Amino acid sequence: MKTDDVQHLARLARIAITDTEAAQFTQEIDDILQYVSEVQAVAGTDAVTPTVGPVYNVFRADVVTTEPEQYTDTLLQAMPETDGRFMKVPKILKQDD
Amino acid sequence: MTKSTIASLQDAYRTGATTPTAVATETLAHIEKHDSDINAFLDVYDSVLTQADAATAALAAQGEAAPALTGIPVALKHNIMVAGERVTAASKILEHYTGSFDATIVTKLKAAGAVLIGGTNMDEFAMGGSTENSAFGPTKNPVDPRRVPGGSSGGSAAAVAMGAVPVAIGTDTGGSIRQPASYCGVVGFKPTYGAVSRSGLLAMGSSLDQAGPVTHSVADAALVHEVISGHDPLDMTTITDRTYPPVAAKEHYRIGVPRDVLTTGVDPDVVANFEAHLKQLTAAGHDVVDIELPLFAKGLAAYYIVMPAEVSSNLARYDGLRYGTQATGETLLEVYERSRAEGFGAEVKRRILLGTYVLSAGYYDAYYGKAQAVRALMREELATVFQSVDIIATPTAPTPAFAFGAQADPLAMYQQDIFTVPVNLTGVPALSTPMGTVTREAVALPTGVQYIAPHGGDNRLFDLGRRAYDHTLSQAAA
Repeated sequence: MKTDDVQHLARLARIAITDTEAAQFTQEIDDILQYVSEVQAVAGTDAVTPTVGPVYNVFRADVVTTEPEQYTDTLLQAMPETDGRFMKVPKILKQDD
Repeated sequence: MTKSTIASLQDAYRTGATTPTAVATETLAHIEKHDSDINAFLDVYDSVLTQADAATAALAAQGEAAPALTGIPVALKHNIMVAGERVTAASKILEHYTGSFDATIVTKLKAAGAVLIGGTNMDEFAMGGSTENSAFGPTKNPVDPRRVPGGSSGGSAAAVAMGAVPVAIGTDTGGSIRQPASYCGVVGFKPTYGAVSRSGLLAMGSSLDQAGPVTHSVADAALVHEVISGHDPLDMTTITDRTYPPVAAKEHYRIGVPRDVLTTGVDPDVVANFEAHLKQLTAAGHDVVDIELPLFAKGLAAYYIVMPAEVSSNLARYDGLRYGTQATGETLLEVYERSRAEGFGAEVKRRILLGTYVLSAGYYDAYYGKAQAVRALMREELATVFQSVDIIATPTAPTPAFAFGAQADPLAMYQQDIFTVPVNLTGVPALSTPMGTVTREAVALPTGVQYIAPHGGDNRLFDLGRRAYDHTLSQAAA
């Protein structure tokens, strides 16, 4: 792994990292990957069906379970920037003047 | 203030020796006096005395008919949602976040009459084994403040060990209840996956996370688990009594010991305590036998793939827009990148990046796919072993509590989880109880023994734990 690869991962994960951080993470992630790659030998090449336990893909009925507006004010208050009942976000694209 | 158990408080309430209001007042004073040194609590709630007064009134009115935890002080790890209280997961990105609803376990604790005292410190988003990753400073081990309390539920374990509360709720993704309980000399329990609702817990690894109690006695842990467990329509992974075949308590247990995992990397004094503990179990009439679990020690490699993968997707929600701390930026992308850069600490970033890598196209099969295959093989191995033994015993952690800064390398820190992560990967329950001490720098440091039972065997663990450990508490008090 190179620092460029780590910078790419950081962009995918939406985290700005400095060159110093990238250098440190590159070394550490390399070490961790080397360690965890042991699973490849342990799992072998035979197909193993991943198990998920006995309870999975359980769905509830698609019905409204809360009162209208029950949480609206609470959730709006948690937002860093609002405009009335809307969440305010910056532009998606930079504007060229 | 003595280190009260739930049972001793309930006796005192029954005889009128004290009241929930008096106990809550003492609790607040105890925290005020000692927690500036320990830093177990990130918040103490304003409502403590109001809750305690209500409990005092409920006991006066209802007596024995009052709910199970009436007037019992309980602390909550800071990744458990409480409506109207600050919930930070010890992260800067949630420094000013207020819970918008009660987690199901909080609803259940309130209904049971518990007096909720405050939120406890932890490693940021439960990532770490020492609380050194808290954005708000580490918690110190009450047994030896030069040492870590363990983690990630280090604040919960320290809050109980320092005598502030008889119960603190923690969460356990790879050992985060059991390891700090071991380091602080208290009892910690990780339930069968699905026994306790995860609704309202700030998710770390959704296929691994469970909430459970830290207490002084196994009987107390059993009582709290009884209150907070149960099927929940808000968490579709919760189980019922019928999900797994019944796992009965027995007069004498056949206890398996995977000796192959004790040979490397375990402190010789911890091994000596463990051997002495096995002798006590044999003397008590249990049958201790050697077993082989060759995949057990491989769990750590699978865990450090599955967990970061789940972390990277679970923590994508912290975008700085809908809640949490927002950094300034010209575009939406800049706000995302800067909010997460400023809001997350190094360990959280490291795990998100690692998780992003193992899930990316081209690497998914080699890492995540293989880790899930290992997990399936581990479940099979465990099921086979549980055909011949009732319980598996290991030390909880390979060492006693280490000094601050002693595990600077992430991989070395991860090795502390060697005995605990296989339990989360396979979803079985496990209990940690104190197992004697080892002396380091003239301080007697606690060690812990871990019992593991088959899926649904939570009560079997409480049965063995009560018989093997709780009587030592009454001896110590006598």
